[in-house]
Amino acid sequence: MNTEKNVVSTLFERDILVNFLYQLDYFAFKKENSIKDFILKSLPVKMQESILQYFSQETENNNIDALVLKSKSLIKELSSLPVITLTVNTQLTEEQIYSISKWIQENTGIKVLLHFVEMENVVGGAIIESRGYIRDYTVKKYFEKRKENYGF
Amino acid sequence: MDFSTKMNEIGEFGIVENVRHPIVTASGLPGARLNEIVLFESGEMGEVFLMEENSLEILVFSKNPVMVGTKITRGDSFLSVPVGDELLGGIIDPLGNSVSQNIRMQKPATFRDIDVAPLGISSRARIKKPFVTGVTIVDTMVPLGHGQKELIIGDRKTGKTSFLLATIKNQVKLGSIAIYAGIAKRKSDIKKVETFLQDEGLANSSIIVSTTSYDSPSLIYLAPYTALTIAEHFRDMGRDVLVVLDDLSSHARFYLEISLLAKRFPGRDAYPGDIFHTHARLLERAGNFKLAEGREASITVLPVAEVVEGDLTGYITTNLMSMTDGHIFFDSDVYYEGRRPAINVPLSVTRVGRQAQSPLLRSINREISAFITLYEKVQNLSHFGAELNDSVKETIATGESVYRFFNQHYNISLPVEVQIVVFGLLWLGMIDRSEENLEKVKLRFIQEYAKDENKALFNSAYQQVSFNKLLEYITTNKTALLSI
Repeated sequence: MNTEKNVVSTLFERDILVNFLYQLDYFAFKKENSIKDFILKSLPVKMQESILQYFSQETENNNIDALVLKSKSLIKELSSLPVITLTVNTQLTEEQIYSISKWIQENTGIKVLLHFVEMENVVGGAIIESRGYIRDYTVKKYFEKRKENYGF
Repeated sequence: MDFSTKMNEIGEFGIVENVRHPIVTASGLPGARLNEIVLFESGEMGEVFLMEENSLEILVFSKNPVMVGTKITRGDSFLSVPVGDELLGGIIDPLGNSVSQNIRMQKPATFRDIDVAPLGISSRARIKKPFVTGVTIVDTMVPLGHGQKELIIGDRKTGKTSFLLATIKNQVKLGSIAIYAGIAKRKSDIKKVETFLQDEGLANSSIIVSTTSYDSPSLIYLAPYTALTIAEHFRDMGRDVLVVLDDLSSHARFYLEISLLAKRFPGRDAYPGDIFHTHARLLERAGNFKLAEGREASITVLPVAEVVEGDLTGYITTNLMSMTDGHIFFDSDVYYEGRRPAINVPLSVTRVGRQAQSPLLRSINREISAFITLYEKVQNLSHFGAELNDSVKETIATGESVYRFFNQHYNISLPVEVQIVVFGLLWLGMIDRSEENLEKVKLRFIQEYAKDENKALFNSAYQQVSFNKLLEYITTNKTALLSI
């Protein structure tokens, strides 16, 4: 699925979408409402258009089996995306998340999910964790190191 | 080692994905190496046990399981134990922490890697120094040499530990260092060993590496490695070391548990395929080694294997028999006959001990072996109830007295000089052959041997080159020997 439109850029958003996709399976079984209504009811506005577009062929043909199959492959794809955890001081805005996500995609060329952890004692910058590596790029750490090396 | 300090320093982390205590599967740690230490966020410690493409298997040393989702980091070092003189008299766990409530031990500053490859042939010297256990039947019939690996095998409650304690006592008195590794023992068993060492004044030259059956299987698995690592430290200091591994059949059982939990394919009797390699690699760390300036120092290992109803054909026992330099078999039938120690001499083997024996002891050994074969044969015939002639009666009487001579309480260590003099007197019929009298004579001679004025008399007996010469010497000095 194309994530360039930032349909899913954080781990939180992925969890919402994956949860929806699992429910889709259940919905297909019950067949109470139309799929479109279900999408509009269950997903945030940001995701609705892209998801409707993604499943447009299956919804038009009312092909439930194909829909379930496609949702399962999407779950698999989303679960295999690498996660970058950023420990920051405050909650980030949508724009900040978007620009971080865009910067990572432009510079690394890979689609990643961001996971934000808020921690009060992280001062100036962020701690970045990914694929088993951890790097502390905070001002606090910089001063701690400086104190260790130079004594001030 | 602190978790957060190490994580900041190394900049790598992993996440626990799966727990099958004591085995943990984790993702992350891209720079991990096999057998490297792993630190857990919750304070536990582990070791990289197996590496796969996207995951690691870690052996956790704590008794309590860790939680899924716990963060881990690399310790950037391999598993090591503190080694040094400070350990003497201590009771430690396989990670080098003191576990004794009574003894306050200072932790040594030097560390040594636990799992190292055994030294090669160029570092080894021929085994030529006799290893005196102080137990007559062993020193004469199944002699050992410094640096030998001799398996102590037998049913439970046949006196194996008592024999080992007697050996430790004698060796410590002769200047060696003793390391007792209790592998999944009961707390009361460890306490017994501790009390024995303290009561006999041996604590300052001995170390107990203790694990009980309540400990984590991974910690139990490490116990013999720790014992040998400490032994290697003292060997490098030029000291002879005795290591008792009590027992390796329990060790194999715990290794089996770990391997099955790690989903390794089970082999014969469900033991993992590398059990032979694991034990052989461990026992190969024993031997007589060359040190600088032409000196030599040895690590003698006495591993114990417990069998059921005298069955010597078990998988682990036959493995151990083939990788050691012989075995001493403690037979329950012999035990119920009342012989102590209950060693079955014909079924015991020593492969390198005889080359370390003095010519006199070799000669005595030959004589007794031949006699015992005759005695067993004659004794079998006597069961038919036929009327026995005088020479058969004499053979049976002498045979019984020889076994009585071998009877020995584990608290009593007999110096070799005393052993041969008492045996010579007994063989020549110069002393009463009753059990009580033999016990009295042994005790008296041990006391008298300690006195300087009597030493020469015993030492000259030991200088004789053959059994016949010894008998001649004893006949000549009969009065002097019997009057002391």
